[in-house]
Amino acid sequence: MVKFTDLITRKFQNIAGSRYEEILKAYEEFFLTEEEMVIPDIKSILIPLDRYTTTVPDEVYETISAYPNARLQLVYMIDENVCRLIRDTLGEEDAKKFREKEERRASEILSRMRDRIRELGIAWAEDTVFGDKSEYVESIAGEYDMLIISKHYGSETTRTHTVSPVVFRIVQYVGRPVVLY
Amino acid sequence: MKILVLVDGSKWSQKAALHAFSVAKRKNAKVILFSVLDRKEVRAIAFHLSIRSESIDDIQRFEETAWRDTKRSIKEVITALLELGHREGVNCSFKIIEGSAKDKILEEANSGKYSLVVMGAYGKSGKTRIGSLLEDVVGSIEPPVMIVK
Repeated sequence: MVKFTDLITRKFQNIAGSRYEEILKAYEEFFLTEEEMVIPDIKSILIPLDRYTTTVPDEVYETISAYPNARLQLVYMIDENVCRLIRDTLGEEDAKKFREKEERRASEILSRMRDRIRELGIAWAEDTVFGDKSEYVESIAGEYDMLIISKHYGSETTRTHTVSPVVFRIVQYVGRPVVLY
Repeated sequence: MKILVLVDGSKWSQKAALHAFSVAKRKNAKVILFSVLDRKEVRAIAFHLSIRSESIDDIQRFEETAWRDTKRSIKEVITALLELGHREGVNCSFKIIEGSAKDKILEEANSGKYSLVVMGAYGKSGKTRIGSLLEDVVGSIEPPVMIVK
């Protein structure tokens, strides 16, 4: 706090003093206090995956390996909204086929990632969830210290729109560091 | 491993540097603190703050002062981060250049030298909607990008 006090005293020497706490509160978005000047400890990482998450680049595994004591949670999301749409338009049988195909894809992707994570010697858990891709991630993100997510998670991207709208929403609302790849 | 940290002087970019140091310590990586100073931004601020001035000289003088302060301010922030990085045993250095922030950031980040880019979620204006940041910069950066809040 010494550095911050010095700064306040230098910049606001006429008004600091008794109004210190008030100034601190009003300008908290602009100052990094001594208390915040700490190297963060990442103990848990959430990695949402889906059908658009085809490959995870080596650089991501390299970043993950910087947190050897973290617990990784891999979650493959099957979009319940798409499933409902298929059921409403094509029928129950096609919806079932879609879900089964997605479960197979989940198994393949999780298996690939499992092998790479095992090489890093990091603890992990995995799950396949049937739900809303954005809402689910937002609802559990607070339980983790960091998110690692593909720019394509949740929907197709294009050359001009390189980040999926689902990722936009997640990055906007989740109060955790997010690694986008 | 080489990590690029985008530093605009904001609290968020300083927090970004802390996360980069955390990764660098474990991976024995090199951290580059990178800052782009955009004269046009300073000119716009100078103009809008001086618009009621009757003399153009005042605007120009104000712009020069603002530009000098901007450079001094970013150097102070980067110096403090370098000190912290070195104290933590991180191999870090800095690069400050002038130009259009978006263009220079993309040029550096996509140079092929970096495995990770780390940046704050917000800029010097404090917490705002971060959509434009994602659209304009993050989407075009090739290495993974860590966005810090």
